[in-house]
Amino acid sequence: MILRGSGHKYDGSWRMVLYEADGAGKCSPKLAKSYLDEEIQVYHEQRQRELVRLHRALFAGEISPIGFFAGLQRVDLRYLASCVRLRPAQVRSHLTPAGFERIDVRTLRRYARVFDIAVADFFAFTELADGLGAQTEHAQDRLVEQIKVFVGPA
Amino acid sequence: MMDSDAVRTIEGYTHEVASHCETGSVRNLLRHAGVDVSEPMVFGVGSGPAFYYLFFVKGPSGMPLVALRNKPGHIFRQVGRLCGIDFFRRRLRTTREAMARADALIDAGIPPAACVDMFRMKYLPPHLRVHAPMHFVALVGRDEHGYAVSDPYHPALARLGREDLEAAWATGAPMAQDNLLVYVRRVPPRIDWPRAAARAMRRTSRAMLLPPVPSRIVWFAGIAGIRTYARALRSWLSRYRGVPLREGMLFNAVGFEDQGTGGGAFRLMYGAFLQEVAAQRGSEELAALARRMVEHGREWRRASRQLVVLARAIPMVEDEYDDWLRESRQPLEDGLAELSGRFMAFAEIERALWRDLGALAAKLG
Repeated sequence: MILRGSGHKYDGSWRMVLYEADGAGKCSPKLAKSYLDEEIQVYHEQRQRELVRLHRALFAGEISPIGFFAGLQRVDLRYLASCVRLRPAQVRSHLTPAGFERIDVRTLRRYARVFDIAVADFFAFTELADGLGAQTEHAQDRLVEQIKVFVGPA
Repeated sequence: MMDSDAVRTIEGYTHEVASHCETGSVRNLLRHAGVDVSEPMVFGVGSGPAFYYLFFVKGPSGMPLVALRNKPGHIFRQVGRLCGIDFFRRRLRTTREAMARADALIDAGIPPAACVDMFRMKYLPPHLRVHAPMHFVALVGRDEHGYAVSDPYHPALARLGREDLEAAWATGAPMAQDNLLVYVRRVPPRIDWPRAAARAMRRTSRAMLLPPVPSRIVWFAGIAGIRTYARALRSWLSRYRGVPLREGMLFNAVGFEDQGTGGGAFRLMYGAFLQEVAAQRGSEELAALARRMVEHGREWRRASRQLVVLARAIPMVEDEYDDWLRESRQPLEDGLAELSGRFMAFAEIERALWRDLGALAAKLG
C-alpha cells in the first residue's frame, strides 16, 4: 500500500442537489454546498489520524493487514464476511496476526477485491516523500503489483 | 470530468444531477425514452418516503443505521407498476452476463441502470466513496476499457473502468442488489401522472402508518420506527463514546439532510411532489398538505443541524474525550434529550400528515 505524508485536502468544490422552499413556499431543487461542507475536511483529517493509528497497531502486531484495511475503509465484520463469503467468526480470526497467517491466497484475493487493492498490498507499505507520486498496476488477478514512483504530483 | 472523446456515448442522452440516485436514474432513463418527468414526481409515484431504524445493521461508527429509503429498485418497480411503464428489472446470474447485456443495450442506444457499490465510483470525491452497494447509475457509453457513467451525484458524465464496474456490481454484501440491471422496454403512449400520484400517496401513507398490530411487530419501520429512533437517542451517551460517538452523530445528520436525501430526510422533495400534483389537479386541499409537508421537512433539517452542533462539540481526538465529558456531559445529555423529544413530536406530526394524505388521496382517486 502506498502511504502519503499528508492526507487528502478537500478543495471545497463539492455541490449537491438540495430542495429548498422559496419565499412563496414553492419547493424546488438547487445545486448547493452541503451545510456539512466544513466537516468534509475534518472527516479527511480524522481518516488520516485513523490511518496513523491503524498503521501503528499493525506494526505493533496488534492487528493483521486485514484488520488494518477493514478499519481504514470502515467495513464492519458482518459486511466483510458477507463480501468474502466466510463466516463472521472466520473473518474475526483473520483480523488478528495469528489468524492472518492461516489464510490461503484464494481468500486473500477475495479480501483484496473488497478493499480494491492488490494481494501484495497486504504485505508491503511504500511511504512516499513529499513531491513524489506513484502509479500502481495489478496483474494475475490482483496477485502481483507494480509500483511506478516518479517525481511530481500523485 | 470525463474524457468523452475516448468513450462513445448514446446519442441524445442528457445527463442531469439529482438528489437521490434511484429517482435521478429513473428520471434520466425516462427522459431518454421520451417521458418528460420531474425528480419529485418520480419520487412521489415511486413511494419514496420511508423510515427504518435498522437496529441489526451497524454503520461505520458502530451505531445502527437509519434508512430513509426503501429497498433499491423499489422506485423503479412502483413507477413501472403505477404508470404502466415496462421496465426490465432483473438480477442476472453473473456479472459477466449483466455486462454483456449492458454492452448490447448501449450499442442499441438503450441506457441501462445498474445498482453498484459507491466505493468503486472513483470519479466521486473521496468522502463519498464508502462501501454502500445500493447506488444507482446509468451506463450510457462504452469502449473496450470502460464505461461512460451517468451518476446523479456527479455534475457530468464520468468514466468507470470495466474492472471497477465488475467489482461494484456484485459485492455479495448484505442488502446489495447484485447484478441488478434495469432499463426501459416500453412506455405507454399516455401516462396519467395525477392518477398514479394519488394511488402512490395512498400506498405511501399505508406503509408509513402501519396498523397497530403490524407496527408492534415491525417496530423499527415507519412512524413506529421514528419513535424507536427517538428513544434510542437518549441512550447514545451511555452506549457510545469518543470519536465513534461524534462520527455516528454526524453520520445520522448526513443521512437526514445531506447524502442523497435532498434535505429534510426527503420530506422537502416529497413536498415538491405534492405541490406539483396539487397544481396539476388544482386542489387547494392538497396544496395545504404540501405546505405542511414542506414545513415538516424544514423541521427535519433543523433537527439534523442541531445534531451537527452537538456532534461538533465532541473532541476529534480520542484522548481528550474523558476530560471533555467530565465538563460537558450535562449539556450533551440535555441536547440529546431535547432531540429525542423533537423526533417523538415528528412521529406525531407524520402520523397526522400521512393519515390526512391517505384520506385525501382516496378522495382524489
